[in-house]
Amino acid sequence: MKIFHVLLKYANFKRVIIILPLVLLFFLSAKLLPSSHPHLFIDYSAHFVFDDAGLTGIKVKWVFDEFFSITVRDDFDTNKNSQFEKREISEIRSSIFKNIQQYDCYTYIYIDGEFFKFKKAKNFTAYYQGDKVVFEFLIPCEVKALGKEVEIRFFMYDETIFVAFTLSSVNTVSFEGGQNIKREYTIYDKVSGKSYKGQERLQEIFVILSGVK
Amino acid sequence: MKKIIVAIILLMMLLPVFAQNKQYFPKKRKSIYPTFVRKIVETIAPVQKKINDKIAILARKIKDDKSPKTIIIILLLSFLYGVIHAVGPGHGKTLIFSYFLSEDGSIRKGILTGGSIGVLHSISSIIVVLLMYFLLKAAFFHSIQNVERIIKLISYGVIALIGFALLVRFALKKRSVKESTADIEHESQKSVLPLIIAIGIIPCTGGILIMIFCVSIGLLLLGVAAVLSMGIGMGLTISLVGVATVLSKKSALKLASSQSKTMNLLQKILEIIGALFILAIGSLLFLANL
Repeated sequence: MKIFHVLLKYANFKRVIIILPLVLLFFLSAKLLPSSHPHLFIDYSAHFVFDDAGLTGIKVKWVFDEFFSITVRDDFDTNKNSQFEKREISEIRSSIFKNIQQYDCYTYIYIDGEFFKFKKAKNFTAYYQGDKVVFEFLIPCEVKALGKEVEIRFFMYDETIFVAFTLSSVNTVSFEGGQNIKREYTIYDKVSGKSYKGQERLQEIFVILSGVK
Repeated sequence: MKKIIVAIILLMMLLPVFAQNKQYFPKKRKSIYPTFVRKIVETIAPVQKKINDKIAILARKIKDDKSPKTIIIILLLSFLYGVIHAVGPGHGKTLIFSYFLSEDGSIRKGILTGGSIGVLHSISSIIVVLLMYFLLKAAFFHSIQNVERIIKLISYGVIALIGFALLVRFALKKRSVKESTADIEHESQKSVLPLIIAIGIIPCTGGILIMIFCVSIGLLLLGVAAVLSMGIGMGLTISLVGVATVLSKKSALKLASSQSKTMNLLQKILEIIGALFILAIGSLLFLANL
């Protein structure tokens, strides 16, 4: 209470009156939370899986940078044999991958311009590629393409900027199954100058499907 | 001062005890960045990634060939990595900006403040990794993430208090008190120290990753040197923000100096805004990380 009396005695009320509304305004309006700049780098590629009616899912491959890879190795490759056994993979799934799932695997899919919300990524696995750790999982994404043309936009992005994604330079896009479905893809890359109107990210994958009935 | 440092180190040593949950990626939260920030980040990320790859490849090479040339290249790359790393969004720069908006500063103070934050940021990563490594016999990244979260909470709480203290000081300030310039400079030099410690004490995740990598491949000393070099790089970028704020504030006040009333008012407004920024950033980050 003594502090309160001291404050009352010395406070310059004009100033206090200026400050109070500003404090309130700040607490109400400041929605921008600064976060970390990218700390983790992932190279990704997409493998589109089809059946005779259209797309069934997108198998994604993430290659982590060496720094993060070594932390995964230290934490999960308990016998240090440079490969992940079933038990180790299941550990990775229940810790790291579970974390990633809460971000919807940083995946953005637009079908004919509409944002597509998928249920849950599945078939998770992890392995080594040289010194780098690789994660693979399937994003269920059913798109019927019989008798029509469908446009799919796909990219990965972390809005909290903890992870930075770049498209892999090898086997960036591949297809499997559904031979009757015609598909064409383009990689739009603002870095190399190839871009299209409405592109949000630096790099995006763009696939056009059309199936003959 | 020595007591504070000892207390902080002791506190850090206790932290692994709390580090139970496995949290690899930061807690989910919505963060909306203005487009220009996202563009900057997206443009610099591939460059960062290239440097990151190069450091890893060279560090592995050092295991076989211990050439001083490779070590120097690694240190230079780490420095560059630090410079670029600090360009991305982070609360450190916003706080420095706010601080120098609110307080009087000089170019020297801007450089010293930014530099100290960068170096302390990297020293903190080194200490955290070494402690975890020797206490837990492994540098578990998820435990480190938890430790980082606790340190962050303490840091953000202190930052909010500093903002609050600056506001209280503003409200209580007597108008007629005249101090000599030397006194003001001395006092202001002291007043930035808590902020430097509060911001710098948070270990840098980038530094932690380099450190874990080097420790894992058996090159502890190289890790320490590389992370310190990265810290100096970060310090350079943060210093630039400090110096830029000091200079632009000075020129704004100079413009208004023909009318001493306007100048006074402007100075007061900047003082409040800066302090409010510090209070808001500290509190918001504290709440977001709870």
